[in-house]
Amino acid sequence: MTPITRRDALRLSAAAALTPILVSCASSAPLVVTAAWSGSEADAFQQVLDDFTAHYGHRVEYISAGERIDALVRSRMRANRPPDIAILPSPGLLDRYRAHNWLHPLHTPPSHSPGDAWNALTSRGDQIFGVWVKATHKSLLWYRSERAAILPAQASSWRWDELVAWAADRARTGHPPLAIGAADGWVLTDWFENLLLSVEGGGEVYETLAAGDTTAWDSSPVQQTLLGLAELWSIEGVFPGGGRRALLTQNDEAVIQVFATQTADLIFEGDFVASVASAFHREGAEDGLRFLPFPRGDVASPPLVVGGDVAVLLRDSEPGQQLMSWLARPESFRPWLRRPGFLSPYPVNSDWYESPISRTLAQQLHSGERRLHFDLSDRLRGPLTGGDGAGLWRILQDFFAMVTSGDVAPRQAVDQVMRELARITAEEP
Amino acid sequence: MSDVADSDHTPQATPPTARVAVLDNAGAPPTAGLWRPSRHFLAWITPTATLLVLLLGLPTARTVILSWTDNGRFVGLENYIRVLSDPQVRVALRNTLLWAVVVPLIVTCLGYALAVTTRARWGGRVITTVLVAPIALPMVAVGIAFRLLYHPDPAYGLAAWLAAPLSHLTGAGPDTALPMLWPWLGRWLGPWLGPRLITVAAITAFVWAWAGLAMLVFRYALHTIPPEIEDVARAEGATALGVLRTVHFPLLRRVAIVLFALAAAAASRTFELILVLAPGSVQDEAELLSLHVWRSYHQGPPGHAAALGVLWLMAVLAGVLLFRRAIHDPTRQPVLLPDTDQPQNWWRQRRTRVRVRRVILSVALLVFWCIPVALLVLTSLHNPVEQALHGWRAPLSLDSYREVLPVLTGPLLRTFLLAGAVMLIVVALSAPAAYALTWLGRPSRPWDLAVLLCALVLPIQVIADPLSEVLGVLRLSGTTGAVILTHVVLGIPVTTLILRSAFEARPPAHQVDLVRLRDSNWRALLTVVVPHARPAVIAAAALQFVQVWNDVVVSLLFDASQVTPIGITILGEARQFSTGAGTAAAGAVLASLPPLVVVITCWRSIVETIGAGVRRI
Repeated sequence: MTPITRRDALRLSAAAALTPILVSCASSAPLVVTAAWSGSEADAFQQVLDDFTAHYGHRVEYISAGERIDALVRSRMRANRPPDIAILPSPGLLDRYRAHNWLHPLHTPPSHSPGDAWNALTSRGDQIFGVWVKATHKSLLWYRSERAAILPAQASSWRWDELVAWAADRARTGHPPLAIGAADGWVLTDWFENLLLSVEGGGEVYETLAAGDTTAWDSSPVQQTLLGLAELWSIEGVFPGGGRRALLTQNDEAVIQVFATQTADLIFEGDFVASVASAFHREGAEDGLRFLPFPRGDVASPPLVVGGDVAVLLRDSEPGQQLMSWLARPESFRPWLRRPGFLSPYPVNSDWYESPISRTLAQQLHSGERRLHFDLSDRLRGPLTGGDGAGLWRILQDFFAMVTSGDVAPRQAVDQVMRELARITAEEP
Repeated sequence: MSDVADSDHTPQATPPTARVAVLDNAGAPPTAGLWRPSRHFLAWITPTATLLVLLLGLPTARTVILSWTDNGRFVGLENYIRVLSDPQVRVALRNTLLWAVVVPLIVTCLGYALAVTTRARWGGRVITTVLVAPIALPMVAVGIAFRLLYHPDPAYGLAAWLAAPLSHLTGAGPDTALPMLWPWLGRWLGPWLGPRLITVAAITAFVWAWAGLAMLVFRYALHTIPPEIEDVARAEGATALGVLRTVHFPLLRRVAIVLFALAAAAASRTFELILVLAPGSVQDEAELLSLHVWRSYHQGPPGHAAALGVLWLMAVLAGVLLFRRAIHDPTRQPVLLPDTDQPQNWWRQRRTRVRVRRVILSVALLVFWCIPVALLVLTSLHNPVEQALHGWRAPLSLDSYREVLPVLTGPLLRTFLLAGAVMLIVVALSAPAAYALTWLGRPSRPWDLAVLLCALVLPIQVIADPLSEVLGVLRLSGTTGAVILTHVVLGIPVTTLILRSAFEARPPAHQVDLVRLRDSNWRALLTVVVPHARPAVIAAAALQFVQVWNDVVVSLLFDASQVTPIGITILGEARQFSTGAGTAAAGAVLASLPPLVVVITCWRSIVETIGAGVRRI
């Protein structure tokens, strides 16, 4: 134990008990910003905030809330002492907070705009309630450069059925073609979203579902999507160790299976795969990482699903508005853009990215070749809201367990999921 | 005054029957003539009572009201019907019932078996330490240790590694937990962390942590049984089972009931163990009410979570009533024993002849119990990247500690201050209340015990939202103050109960002093009551410190990032388990040290308090 005498301990604990009281008495309080980022991401964001302080002279205190950001904002709202700005990991939260009238609109529209798909999620009428600060590209299949030879020549523009056929062939040779972190429900929702956008009529259903119309769950594109997933997932030997093992595999472990232990060839997930992979594969950098677009279905171009973090203003003040404007300028994030693993929601000069992977991904986000759709599961409300053992995450994990077990025919499994979706969405008041 | 309490009795002179009576017949001590009703009763009790009413009573009432309403509209039982028709809720109810009944049963039986087998065995002190230590560990650390144990990959998971050769033989497949069973059953059951066995896996973790405490309690109880009685039974040809049936069962029944209740209260609240141990895909199969109420707070309408909470609360209260009925015995005569009769160093075993078979058994028990901790320490001694790639066969290194220390220093220090502050406040508030309840008010009020017991078993998740509202009105939500206050009101009931029981115990020698000091409450308090209760105060304070140190629930519900205690930090490290195992294990090891140090430092007081408690049962 630390050599603290009893009297010291008493004094310290008294000080700890008094801290909140003292803090609330302090007059010139700094702006308080909270976000989920920790570790190196928090360091990078701190640089952005430091630049703001250097520019405007307002002090900023950053609180890293991890996954508890919702709880943090709620409990502080309750005591009427919210942080000035919260950076939310999903627009679903922004919706909920706006419904509570917790958010303040921006006084002046931001100088930059990431595009209509993004703006639609942050504005209501002519009021703007949020500023996008970070983007995630979620439509990628990753592999090691050495494995390029085993992929079909047309892989860079392949269709879903070509992927299924290739995976079946590869699995038959005894090499599992895919790694999947099915223990993390969001991995499965990302699969579902991408494939839904690739099937005929899926784009419209996708946006209808995101808008909160739950009747759209009972539609042919949703059924087609589930059938497509079942077709791929039920291939024998498609995942290392089988489906049951995949359900105990988290996304990071699946990345390791492709890039370090090499027990699988491909992994589908977002741009963040690169940062996990570079920590674990031999080269120790981004060299050797290759990626393909998610296969297209009946539609012409491959799907593009993005996620993002959005800053909202919980306490209106002049410095707070200034900081929001600062966060809306892509230039402000240049210190972070230099590091790998950060994509700006805004089209920026590609020289600002130092990582070639980020540069290419950013180009894909902003080229306009593919229609961009914001992550569906992040926009769902009510009983389908995801979480470990909850909502759409749970439903898709149960589906995954069914189709990989081999005991349930794909069509039966799809029917069962459709029934479950109907039951849950009917519950909603 | 009772005859048995006659101070002339020396330990040698106590007839065996009286010593048996300690177990079977010790109710509340006679208090007539010693109570000192005081006008200041209310002054002593008000601060504590106010806190309990404001922060536990009000929120509970609010939860009950919420459960009948939807957006402020009275809807009767509709919320309850809606909640009970949810299949997820039914899974949570089923599992919680399992945890509340089966787990304490296992803990009690195993505790008895361990107490009987280890009470006269070689290596006593080591065995006691190794078996009892897990109760002090944070459940987050236990969860990490068992997740490592049950990891489905033989390179990381010891259970899978041991099962691998067997599953080759039986052809049960590489990911079956129990390959020695018929292939189809083994295959059907699947891996330890899979949907069918996850609850079993979690239960083994809980039992591992709790069996030692049960063993300790039973060992004390066994010590109070005079050896003569067992000898008679054996002379009449009774086997071990016969001794259990004819001697132990009747005499230890009450101790077993108390242990069962204690384990049931803890097991039905299991929370972070499941969060850490169960991969996301099986969280729904391992779901418990404690988790489901927490999850459903911000998902559905508040009425649903409240209705579920009220159901849970009612089940818990029913449990308390059952317990009171089982333990209540109107025929019991209060008996007082001279405190010199307390067996000395009872937690050490009797010395007997060393036999090879017994040594082997003891060593096997030791090794078996050490496995989870050994795995945790071994995993923490690897570079995190190497660990993720090669499991525990990677070369040893301190890199995990190097990486995790900068992250943990802040949380470790803050948790230390938090736990220390809560400990002092709780003792400062509970001691006056306990003193007032035992000495200043009117004797024989059953309600104070009932209220304290109810407050003790109240699950915090049930009142989390209304409690935040109260804290919000006090302008404390999201501050360190909110976390401290919540811990304080949760700690007061148990501390008050421990201290009340210690103040109430009046050994004959002290009674003489007390009669002498009849006119001065203060002198009686300072010269007799407090010194006598010292071990109980130390034990209660240690318990409180460990409780707060190991907490995850309160921080998860009420902390708004000013404290971020150690449990939360480690939970975050273990989030992506495969890549975070090294640092999470290192964090778990570091977080386990302070509670262990506290328990070892206060060991004597804790043991004395447990002994005193068992004698009063």
